[in-house]
Amino acid sequence: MRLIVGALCSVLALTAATAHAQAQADYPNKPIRILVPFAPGGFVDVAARIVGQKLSEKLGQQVIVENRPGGNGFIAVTAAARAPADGYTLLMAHSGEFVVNPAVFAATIPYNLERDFHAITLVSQAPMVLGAKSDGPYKTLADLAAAAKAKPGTVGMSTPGTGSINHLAGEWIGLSMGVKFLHVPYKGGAPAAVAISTGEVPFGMAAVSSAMPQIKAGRVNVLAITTAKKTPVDPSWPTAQEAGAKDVDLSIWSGLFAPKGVPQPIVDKLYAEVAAILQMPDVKEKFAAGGGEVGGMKPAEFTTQIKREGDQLKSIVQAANIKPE
Amino acid sequence: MDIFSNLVIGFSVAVTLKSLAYCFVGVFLGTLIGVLPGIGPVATVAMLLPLTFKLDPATSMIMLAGIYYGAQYGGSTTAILVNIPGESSSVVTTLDGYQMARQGRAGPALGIAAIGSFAAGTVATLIVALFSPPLATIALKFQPADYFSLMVFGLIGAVVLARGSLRKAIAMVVLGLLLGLVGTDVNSGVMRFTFGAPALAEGISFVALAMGMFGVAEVIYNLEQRGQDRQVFTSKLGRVLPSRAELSFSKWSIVRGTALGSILGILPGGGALLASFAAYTIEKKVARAPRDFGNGDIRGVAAPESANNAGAQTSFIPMLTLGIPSNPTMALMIGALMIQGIQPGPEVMTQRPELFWGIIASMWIGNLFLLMLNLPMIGLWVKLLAVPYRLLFPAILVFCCIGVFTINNNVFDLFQLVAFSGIGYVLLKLGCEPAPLVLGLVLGPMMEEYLRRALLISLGDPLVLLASPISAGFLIAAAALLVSIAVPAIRATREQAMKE
Amino acid sequence: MRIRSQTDFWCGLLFVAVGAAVIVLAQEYRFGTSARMGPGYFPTLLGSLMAVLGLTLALPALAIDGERLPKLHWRPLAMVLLGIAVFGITLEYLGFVAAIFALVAVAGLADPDLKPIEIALVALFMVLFSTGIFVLLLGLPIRLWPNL
Repeated sequence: MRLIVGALCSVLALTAATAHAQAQADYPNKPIRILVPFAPGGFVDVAARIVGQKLSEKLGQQVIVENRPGGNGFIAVTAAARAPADGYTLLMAHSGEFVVNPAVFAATIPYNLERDFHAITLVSQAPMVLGAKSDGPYKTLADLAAAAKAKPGTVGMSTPGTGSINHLAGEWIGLSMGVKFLHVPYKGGAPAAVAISTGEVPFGMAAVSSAMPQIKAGRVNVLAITTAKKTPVDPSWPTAQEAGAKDVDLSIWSGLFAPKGVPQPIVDKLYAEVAAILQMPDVKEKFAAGGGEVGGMKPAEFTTQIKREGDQLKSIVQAANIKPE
Repeated sequence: MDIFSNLVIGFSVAVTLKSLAYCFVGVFLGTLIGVLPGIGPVATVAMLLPLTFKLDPATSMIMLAGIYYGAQYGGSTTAILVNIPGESSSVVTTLDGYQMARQGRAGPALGIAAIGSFAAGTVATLIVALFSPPLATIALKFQPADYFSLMVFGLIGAVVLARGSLRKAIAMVVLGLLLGLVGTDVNSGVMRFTFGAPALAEGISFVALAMGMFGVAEVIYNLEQRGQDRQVFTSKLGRVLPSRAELSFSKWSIVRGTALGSILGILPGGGALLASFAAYTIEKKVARAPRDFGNGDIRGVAAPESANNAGAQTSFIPMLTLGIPSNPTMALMIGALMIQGIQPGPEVMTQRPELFWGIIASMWIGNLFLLMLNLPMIGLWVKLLAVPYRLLFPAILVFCCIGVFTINNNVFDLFQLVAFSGIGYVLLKLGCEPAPLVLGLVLGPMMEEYLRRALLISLGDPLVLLASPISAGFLIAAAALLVSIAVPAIRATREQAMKE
Repeated sequence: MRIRSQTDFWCGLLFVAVGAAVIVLAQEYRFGTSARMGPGYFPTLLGSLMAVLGLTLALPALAIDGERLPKLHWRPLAMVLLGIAVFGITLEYLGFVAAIFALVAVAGLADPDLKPIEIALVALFMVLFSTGIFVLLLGLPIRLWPNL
């Protein structure tokens, strides 16, 4: 019995080997996998599926989105770093993996952007919003800061988790205004946003897409957004800097990466294709629906942005004393 | 604005050829993945997401919703036939459903599941149509303390799931709670009991545990007997549909299950999860002759299946009106809506009535499709049990492995399956039943999360648990339930000790 | 002293051991106070509860008659568990088709009544059936063949 199995295995192995020899000729000639560090449904997963579908139409090859959730993104990112550098395994990651994790986990993080990856391009980015209950006592960021100053550590702030980018954005706003909020973590963006509208917490830091249902229903007011630039979603929302939080500028983004060692022509080709896809009107529209603006910046620029944000957050993490226990 | 004209709008959307076709595709795929253990609706919906980019919002939601409740429906099939619960909601169905199958009553078990689900689906659809907005505000009233007390109530009810020793049942709940601790602690971000394995950061794989402790452990247990001694299923093929007597016997169980499921489904913080467990517990407490539960009582299939399907329908209320997903599949559907440029929320009902009412109308049609699809299939399923067990068991193992792997595409989950199969077998041998453990695993992390959040927000004041009437009510109910379970058990032990 | 209910006694002892292990491991995490619980609070509490429950099971077992320890059957247990583990390893390195063959072949040894030809046929059937459904129809991202 085991002989039969063994023989079958080796026959199969041989056929696969001959097929592989032709693989170098012109890229792509087999399906491409995009690893995603989240369960299906979040904005990174949706970004991967939108880009993946267009990429598949343009390249004439199937593009498969593979969800590898868990472990702060460590699972998907390390799997992508270890995958063969042939351009058939890509990674769609978000700020958490390459900006927040290095700042929070420092030495214990099992991957390194420059050592393990080529950044291909920024796919989309969006501000986070600081939302407060619309019939609550806080109408401006100044109100909130005054309350937190009067009673330090008692004004609750909901976020989608300890060490999430939303958490760090909230801490940054607190630091720059010289106050300390009470951090109340939730399991994911939607519950954290709902907690604002039920009055569980007086305010919270949410992605635009998570907070939008509550904002549209009139239950949550936006007191500030976390980027220095206004958002086209609603230009009347003040930026954190306008509202009094000096220097604060942080977005939440998704980006496409390839393992280090992928031949440069393939990286260039992928960049050109994805950059073109991001300019398509229907793609722009789909990202805009979640409050995002499409990216498309060159690999070098993207890497610079990641490093700049990473350095900023390192100082925030140190100042706010956030660490995994 | 009356309900009648709304439903007319809804049906005019749902009864077009295109909608009917996509609705059918949805429920068909849903049933298929529900029957195949472990392939969750999340993976299926995710794969069909790009397809919906090309459809209009109503049609795509009709199809995706069909997959969701079709999977709930199909999930009971493997639970009954081979003791494999693909998701938490079908764990309870294994208790009596699988026993019925072993006694040659797989047909009536599957039949009552289908009929109960249809009845529950019809009622729940009506509830969604009539009361969505007021019910959504109830969901918003629930604060962390209230959820905590609801979980406490649910956990005490979990003890009733077992038919054997009370002390072992309590120990199993606690063991489930302990296993639930594995993973990232929401409040502090600390990874607990993960032993350095990043795959455990999200906690123990529920599917691996349920399939191991129920499906695989049962396979090993059955393989102990050899040849002629092995009577896993009686050789005689019984009825294919439930008899009139069985239907009237389980009538009130369906009604109670539907009512309970409809209410719990509205609560986004774990309510729908509780529905089938709570329905079983209540049935066992109120029904005449509760001793039959666990030995193939048809009411033990009818009530949880009805509750489960009713909850699946009403969990659309918080999603459509508040944008709160009750589970990962719902989160994915919200993603699908957003890609279409629609923000779920109360304004969907007023600004896009054709979408809102179209989905509701299609739910009822989908349930009808499910009934028509599933009743004729029962005969086929029942015949499957006639396959000799020595040929059947490798197939069961293959499906378990594929199911566990495809949840996260992670081989590590298969090693979890190995561990839990072994643990499940030993526990089975020691007379410890896994159902209370599963509920502990599912509810434990939420219970801790809500309690600590309640205390965090109240700045450490434990009275917050009694200050809210909802929370206080659940705690009183939990205490009453505890007394009603403990008193007869203590009396029985004392009598036994006296006799010695 | 005679143990009168062996199953309950050993079962209880097992629970005590689990509870104690959890308590020990939980000391790594901050305990906190009742008002502000740390990540170690719940585990310590639950571990203690587990240990106490184990005692309530084990101690009466010394006095009240009960069942003898059941016999464990090692062959089906070992072969089924080994089969699943082999499936995992094979899937990682040799792909889906080889993994199914490996699983059915190893797990098949759990039942001595199963003939080699039946194992081969079941394996072949499962390969065709699951490739058809999971890979072709549902399009799951599963690698069929070894990645060379």
